[in-house]
Formats: sequence, C-alpha cells, structure tokens
Amino acid sequence: MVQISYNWLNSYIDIPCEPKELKYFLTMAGLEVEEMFYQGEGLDKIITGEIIGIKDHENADNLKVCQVDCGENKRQIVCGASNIAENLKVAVALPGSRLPGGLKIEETELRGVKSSGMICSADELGLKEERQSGIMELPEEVEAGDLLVEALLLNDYTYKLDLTPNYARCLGHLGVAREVRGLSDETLEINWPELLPEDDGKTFQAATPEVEIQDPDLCQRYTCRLIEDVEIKASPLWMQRRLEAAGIRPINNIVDITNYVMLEYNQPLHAFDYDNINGRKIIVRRANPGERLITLDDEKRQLTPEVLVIADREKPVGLAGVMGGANTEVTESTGRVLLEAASFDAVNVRRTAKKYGLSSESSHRFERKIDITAVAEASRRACYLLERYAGGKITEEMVDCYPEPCEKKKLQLETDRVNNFLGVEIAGEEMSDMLTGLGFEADMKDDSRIAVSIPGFRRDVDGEADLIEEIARVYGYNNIPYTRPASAEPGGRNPEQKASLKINRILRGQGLEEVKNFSLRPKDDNLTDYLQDYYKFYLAVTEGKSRSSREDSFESNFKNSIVKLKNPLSQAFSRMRISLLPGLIEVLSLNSRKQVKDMSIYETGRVFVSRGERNRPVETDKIGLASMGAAYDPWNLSAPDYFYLKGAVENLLDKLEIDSWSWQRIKLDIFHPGRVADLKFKNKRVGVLGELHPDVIEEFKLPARTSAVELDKKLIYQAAGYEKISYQQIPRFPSISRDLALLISEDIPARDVIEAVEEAASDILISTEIFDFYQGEQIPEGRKSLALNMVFQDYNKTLKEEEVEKQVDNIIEVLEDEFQAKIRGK
Amino acid sequence: MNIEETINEVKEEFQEMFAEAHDSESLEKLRIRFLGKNGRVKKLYGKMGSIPDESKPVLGKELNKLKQQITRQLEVRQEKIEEEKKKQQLEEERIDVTLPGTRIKTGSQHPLSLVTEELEDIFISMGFKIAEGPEVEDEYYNFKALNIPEDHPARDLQDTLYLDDLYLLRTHTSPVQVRTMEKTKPPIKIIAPGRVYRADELDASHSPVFHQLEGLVVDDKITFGDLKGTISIMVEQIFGEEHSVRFRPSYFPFTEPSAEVDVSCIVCEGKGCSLCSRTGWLEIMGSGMVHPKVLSMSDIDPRSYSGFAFGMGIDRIALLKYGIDDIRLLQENDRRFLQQFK
Repeated sequence: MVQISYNWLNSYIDIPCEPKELKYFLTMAGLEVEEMFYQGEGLDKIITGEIIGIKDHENADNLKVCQVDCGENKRQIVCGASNIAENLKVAVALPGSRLPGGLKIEETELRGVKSSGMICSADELGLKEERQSGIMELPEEVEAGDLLVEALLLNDYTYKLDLTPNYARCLGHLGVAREVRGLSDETLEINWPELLPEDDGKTFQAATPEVEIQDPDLCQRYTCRLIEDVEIKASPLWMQRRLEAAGIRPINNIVDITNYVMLEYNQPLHAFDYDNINGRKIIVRRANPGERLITLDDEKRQLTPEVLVIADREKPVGLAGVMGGANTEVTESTGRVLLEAASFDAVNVRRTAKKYGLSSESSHRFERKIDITAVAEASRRACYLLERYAGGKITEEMVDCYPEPCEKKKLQLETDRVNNFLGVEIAGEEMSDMLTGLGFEADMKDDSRIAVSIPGFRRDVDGEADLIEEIARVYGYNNIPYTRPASAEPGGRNPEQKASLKINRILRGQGLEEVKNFSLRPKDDNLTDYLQDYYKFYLAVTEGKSRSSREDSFESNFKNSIVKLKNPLSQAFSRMRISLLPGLIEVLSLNSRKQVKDMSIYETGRVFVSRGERNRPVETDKIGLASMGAAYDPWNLSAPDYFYLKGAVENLLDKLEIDSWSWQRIKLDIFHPGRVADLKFKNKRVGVLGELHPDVIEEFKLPARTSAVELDKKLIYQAAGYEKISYQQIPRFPSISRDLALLISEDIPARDVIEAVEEAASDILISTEIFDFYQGEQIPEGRKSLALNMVFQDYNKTLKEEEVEKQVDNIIEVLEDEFQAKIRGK
Repeated sequence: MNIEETINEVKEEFQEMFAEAHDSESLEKLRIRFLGKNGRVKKLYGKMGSIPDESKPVLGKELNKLKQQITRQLEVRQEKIEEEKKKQQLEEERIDVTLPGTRIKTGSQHPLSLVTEELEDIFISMGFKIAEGPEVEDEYYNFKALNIPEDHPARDLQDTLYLDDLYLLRTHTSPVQVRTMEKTKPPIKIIAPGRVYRADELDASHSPVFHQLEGLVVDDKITFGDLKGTISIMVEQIFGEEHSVRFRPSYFPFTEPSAEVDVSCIVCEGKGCSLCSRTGWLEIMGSGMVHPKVLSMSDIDPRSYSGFAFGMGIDRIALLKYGIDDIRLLQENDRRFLQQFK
C-alpha cells in the first residue's frame, strides 16, 4: 500500500488530467486506486490570521479577547486557549463557515463579549486525530488572510494505491510518473529531480568507512557516503506536507529526507549517526549466534545467522533492509551522518521481516526488488537535499561496493506473436514506441522483431509475456476486440456430474431444502462423543471393510482420524468435518429455535478423514438428509421423520434404478438405539438412517423424533442404472391382486416377511407390499398384525384363479412354518 | 258404452292424472295404471275381440295411438325430471373455489448451487466441460505449478490454512488447471467449480470457506480477445445484457497479461453508490493469458499453444445477483433465507 500525492507527482510530469480523472487513469493502468481523498477536506473556508492584541475578558477569567488580523479586516474573537500570544499566526473559522466536524460558526456573544469567528485547534480542523491542548500554531512565514489550505499546502489530492507485486516500481512517485508518461496519449517529459553532481572534486575517502560485504548473494550492492556538519531540525513545510500526504510522519530533516527520496525513487535509504559507528568499517554479514540488536522501534531482537545485519567492527547496527539499530540512531546531537543506499536480497529481507513480525516501508520495497542500477542516483539525490536542508557538508567520495554490476536483461520480441496473442494488429514501430514510452530501450531489428533492453526499474519483466502485457496496457485492454475461441468438442457434464444434478433434483422433489455448511468445524464439538463409533461405521462405508475386522484399532484412532488445521484462525474453524450430520443437526436446531416447527433439509458435500500427518486425507462426497416435525406417521409408531426420510431415500434409489438394496438394524451412538438402520447394496454398506438419540435431541433443543441420513454419493452413483433404462412392454394380460393379513411375533422384521413371500412364490408374483401394520387391541401381547398386498402377473397369458390360489397357499404354508404366522380371516 | 267411448275415457283420465304427476314416483304409478300388465290400455286390447270386424282396423289404430301417446308423454316428462334433478345436484355441489389448494412440499435449492448450476450451464453452452479436484492440496499444485514461488510477496495475497508441512487447504480452484493440463493435451476447455479456504476471519464480507469457479482454455491461437469475448458473454448471461464489462490490468502470478474484470454496478448502473464504493464498477473476477511458465511446467509448449484462464468467487456472484448483503447468510441456513431461492 502506498499513497501518491497529486501535487508531488505533478512536480515531475504535467499530469494530463484533473485530480478526479487521475484516479480512473491510474486504475485503468493497473494501479488500482483504493481510495482518493482531498487533503484539505472541509477546510476550504478556513483562513489564516495573526493575533495582534490580547485583552482579558471582563466576565470570565479563563477567556481572552483577541484582536485578529485576517488580511482584509480585523476581527474580535474570544478564545480560551492557553497558548495564544501576540504575533502568533493562527487558523480562523469565520462566521458562516463550518468545521470539518460539522460545527457551524456564527457571529455570537460569549459572556457578553462579541466574538466574530473561532480560532481553531488542529483536531477541530481534522488535521490531528487526538485532542490538542491548545490552538494550532501556524508557521511564521504564513501571510495573514491567506486560505489555510494554501498556506499549509493542503490543496492536494492523495491516492491510496493497492499495488500488486509486479507494480513495485510505483512505490515511488517517479515510477508513477513513468507510467503516466507511457500511458498518456500526450507526449510528456519527466522533470528529473536535482542531484548532487557526480563526484567531481570530492576527495579520497579519509573518514568514510571501508565496506566489506561478506555475503554478496544477500547484498548485491552497498553504498555509503559521509555527510558532515549536519544540523538536525524540522524539514521544510513542503517536504513535511508531501510526506504526510504519502502517509508518513515527519520526524526531522535527516529522516524526512531519506523517506522523501524513498518515495521518489523507491529506494530505501538509511542514515546512521556516524559517531556511534566503531572503527571506520561497515560489514554486511550474517548475525552471529547470540547477538542482539535493539531496533529503532525499541524492541530487543535476538539475532540468528539467517538474519543479515549491517555491523561495524564490534556490533550490529541495523537489520539489513528492514530497520536500523537504536545504537546508531540520528538524534538532535548528531553531527556526522553516514547515508546508506543498498540493494538487499528480496527473500532474505522477507524472511527477516516475517521472523520479527516487522514489516517496514523499507522491507516492503526490498521484498519486491528495487532498481539496483539506481542506488547511487538515489543516494546523490538525498545528498543534494541534505546539503540544502540540513546544512550537510560533503567532501568525500561515495563508497560503492558493487561486486557484480547488474547486466541489463535483453529480450527479443516477435511482433507477430504479440498480435496473435492479443488478437490485435499493431505495427512494429508502434509497439516500439509504446515500450520506449514506458522506459524500455526498444530497437526495431527488422519489420518483425524488436530487440528490447529491460531497464533496472523493471525487474518484474522476465519474458515475452511480460512485454506483451505492457503493449496491451498501452494499447488499452478495452480496445482489444471481443472474439471467441472455437470449440472442437461439445461441452457438457460427465455422467457422474449429471447424476449429481439428478440426485439434487430428486431430493428437492421430496420437499427437502438444500443447505450448505462449512467443512471447517470447531475443536470441541458437542457431537464428538457421539461420533466415536460413527467413525468406525464411516470407514466401513468408505473402505468396504466389515466393522469387526478393524474394531480394536478404532477406539484409539478416532481422535487422530479428524483432520486438524495447523494454523487455524480460531478454534471455531480448526477441524475438518468427518460427517455431514453435525452440520445438519445444527441447521435444524437453529431453525427450531426460530420457531420453525417442521423442516427437512439435505446437503451434498465433502467430508475428510485423516490418514496421519504428512499423508493426504481421504476426501469423500456425502449426501446428508435430516428432518424434524413431519406430520404423517404411516405406521402409528411415532416415527414420522424416520419414515419420511426412509421414503425419500427409497424414492431416490428407485429413481436412480438401483436394484438390490436392503435396510438392516444396527446400533450407533448418535442415533436412537432402536431406530437406526444401515443401507446396503448387496453386501456393501452405503449409509445410515436413524432417529437421533434423545440425548442429542435434547441437547440441540430439537423436536422429538428428529431423524437424519448420511449416504455415500459415489457408491450411490456407481450402483445407479437409470442411464441404461430400456422399455419393458406394458402387460397385455390382466393381473390378479390378493391381500393377506397375518399375525406374527413382533420381533420378525417386515423385510424378512417380504423376502420369505418372494421366495415362496414363483416369478408370477411381481410385487409384494405391506399396506397395514397394527399392534394393540385384539392383537395378542408380543405379536403384530401385518397386511400384505401381492400382485400376480403372467406376461404371456391370462392367469387362472387356481394358479394364483396355489401360489397363495404355498406362501401361507411357508409363513406358518417359518414364522408361526397365524393367517387372519382363515 | 262402446269401445270408442271407452278409449276416449281412458285418454281423458290419463290426461287428467298426468297433469298432476310431477315426480318420478307418480309417473311410475301412471305407467303401471295405464301401460302395466293389468293396466287400462292392456284391458282395452282385451276388449278388441268383442267388437265387429269392420271396426277393428280403425279402433286398433286408435288404441295403438293412445298407447304410443301415453308412453311418449311419460318418457318426456321423466327425462325432464331427471334433468332437473341433475341440475339441482350440481347446484348443491357448489364449493368455495377460493379455498387454498393442497400444497406438496417442494424443497428449495441453495443460492450457491443455484448460481453454480447457472454458471455451469452458461459455460457448457460455450463448449466447456467440468473438471474437479481435491480440496486438500500440496504446495506444488496450489503454488509452485502456478508460478507462485515460496518467499514471494504474491503469497501474501492469500492466507493459507495448512494441515501440516506438506498439505494445505487449497486457496483457489486454480490447482485444477494444473491437474487438467497434466492429464489432458490441448485443446482444453474446462471450468472447475469448487470449495476453497483462506485464513480469513468470518465477517459480513469475508469467509474462511467459500467457492470459486475456475476456467481454462488452451489451444493453438487462443487470444486475449477470446478471453474478453468468453467472459463478456458469461457476464451478460448471469447479470443481464444491460450490464457492461471492463478489463483492467492486474497481476496474478499464473497469468500474463492479467486482467481484473469489472461489471457495471448492479445497483447504481455506473453512477456510483455505496455497493461499488462510488466507482460505478464491481470487481467480479480475475483473468488472464496462461503464463508460459505455467504451460511449460505442465508440459505444454508455450511456443505452440496459448490459453486463457479466469477465476471468480461464486459466493460473490450470488451476493451481487440476489442483492444479499452479508456472506454469512450463505452458511447460516435460516429457512426464511433458503425459501427465497427456487
């Protein structure tokens, strides 16, 4: 994040547009302007004045009556501030104006004395955030009667840029100026800043330290220059104001100048108090184990050999590229300054900054690579300003330790490839001009090739594609025509993706509402305990293993099977979900608490099981269903939700043409022990359906009988046969239907009865359904009544009554034998 | 009394009684009295034997006429009565036709899957297939193969959630690009919708879990113009043709040139409002030409092939499309929210 000032930028290049248009210009150039603001917001009516007389207030001890020269006329203003003094220049809000906070100033009387206006403090003007103890004292050179925004150079706009890493060059105003020059339709020139002349007449480095770079791969260039006789004071107002516009707090002339040049050239600089550097030597080296450094922010840093430091003969004096040391800080008593301008390794700076949680203006820039070829120029710029605004004397040459000067990268650009890549037709000459405008050296080899030499400030440009982007930017992304790629093949979903859509549609068709839950879960889940054995069951589903074979290892492994995040933001999102059920239960719970009485939901989503650290977890797609408050209780067993969900699942299986599936009683802690079944395809376990355990229901304040399902989506898909449907002729002969009511022991599952009936009959029995279930009055204790409907059909002829009777007799015999069934009405 | 007179008498008697018969029962009585086995007409036929032969044809004819007339009159009146009855029944069956209908629960689709399906269909119509990938990824697929080196400031653009020192939760759907290029030779034309994770605190506009839709096209002669054309069609389809789209330079490590895609603000239509931070534009996706290094790493020769890629936040599209002002609503699953999406 960097802030650019309109006036500052305008001092290097004639900005071809108004402040408001510049915002659009920069954004469309790729320098996204996150925010633009006017420095003098709300201050346009405030003027400057000079206090020319002060008298006591006749009715109030703590008020004074001031005569204020406001240029055209004098005004009497009552003021209570303690720092008022004659000849003081102050900010005056005239009657009729408004302060940035909204306060309206009026002609008024204070304790009987007329007051026409208000002398303001900096916080009242919105120029300081914290409350000030007195009125704002303006610099002496201010002319009474001037507009405050002009006197304080506040008539400026600031642009907060959200720069992507490849726009690091625009972390300095000159970089932005180059963009303006390159992207503007007008021909513009940059007014380069004034520098200290090349080292003419400067002498041998008598007092300047010797520089030794011990790790040249971490510091490719190090320069330093001695500046003597500096006078530490405030920097000029214009410099302070520009720094403030860029979001940097002015400190003193030395520090301000280093920051100012950084904001021009994007070159971080550092000033050491040279009298605290020991032994006329600067060593750029890795820190020794056990070394410590107190940085400028007064934090004590424990150093390690991964950290690059600037050191003198005996001690570290700075974290290279990140922050200087307190031991060599420039203070009011500083007389000799050593100015450092260097280039440090991006990765090392980044690691050091991360290690100490210390991201500085300097580290931010080095991380993104600076222009190593401009290091000396930036230093000379700072020297120019130090001479001018800090009284510095420069008599010695700069030390420039630059072991392997950076070669300019050269690229060859084929104009055809540019045009083919962008879908445009730009002439080679034009491309060459575009690149030149941005500061590249472009040389037309022939009609189709341009030799491009990459300047030092464009270390982001690495290959052809980067240059193509530059041409596209100058040409204008929005001027490139819209076309569309040809399609060799048809698009579409694959069979599994189609099945997914179908599953969703079928579930919605059953009245289920789709929900989406996070796959991140809290560390301590109210349901964790209940899910211990569910996890075993889960493994049996995903791995097709039987429960018993791995039973022993499960208990101890459950906790390890949950995928944990190494760096969670909060405990609330620190685990991956192992099942969809907790999320579904929470959704019903939330809605139940909001007075929803009946609701049924489904979710399709992924769950995760750990296979131990440094192993890829298993990801499985699941289908979850849950229902509360269903009204229809088909068998009068107080299990409406259970049977609603069971019907929904059975419809799903039916619609997907899944042949052979069965339900079987099981036990799982999260469910009611007598009301839970697993779903099997042949011998493969696919999922589970059950009424939630009453404890869970109570804990989550759910309606009684709330039930839930979880199924494995892949297994369902694999078993589906709906895509292979082939038409079966509608029977031409009539079918015969028979009902049978029987009394059997209540322990015999309905499924067993149906299986026995189907086994006992020949294949003319085409359907067997239970249509009534009854227990209670007239039924002996321990028994239940079931009523079956059977449909017989011969596809080749009309069935005779006798044939069906024979079948029914056989069925009855089997039922009597196998289940001691008593056939009712017989 | 001769037979002729008797016929007339019977006739008169019938007419007298018929005039009084207004329901099915009395009609039936009349039928029995006159046309029954022992009825008056039958009896007259019995008397035919006792009349002179020359009168027989004339009287016989008279008698037949009488029988026919009675039969017909009875029938007509009976029909009329039945018709009346039916009419009355229909009248009685009148209902309040405005009472509520029987509503079967129909379920609802979550806005995220609604938008995902819509986006998928738009791209399918342009010839795209759908690719998928794991949510747990490693450094290679999530970063390195996408030209995001370790210790590069680009890593700061996304805060990553790690499982251990090898595995992480994918921060974008872009790894699916790499996985697709590894196992498919061009032409490639895929989208990859899916769930992604970032170390972001949950608030009205950020979520640690959200969804992206990635797109990748690789073929010979794919241009930046193709990227613009494809994306503008998608934007028109999802937000409506009245919205314009613009492309501006941006940076993604895996594309070059890179472009941010903005759509004219759906609330203020470009005038500037709080939704678009007074810019008139809403940022909806990142895009660009696939970086040659990314192609090379997946063994596709950047001298022979080019491609474009794009990625958008499905949650963001859903928020904008439906005017939802808080991303947390998407995972709260409040029924009053869910039921608004059909």
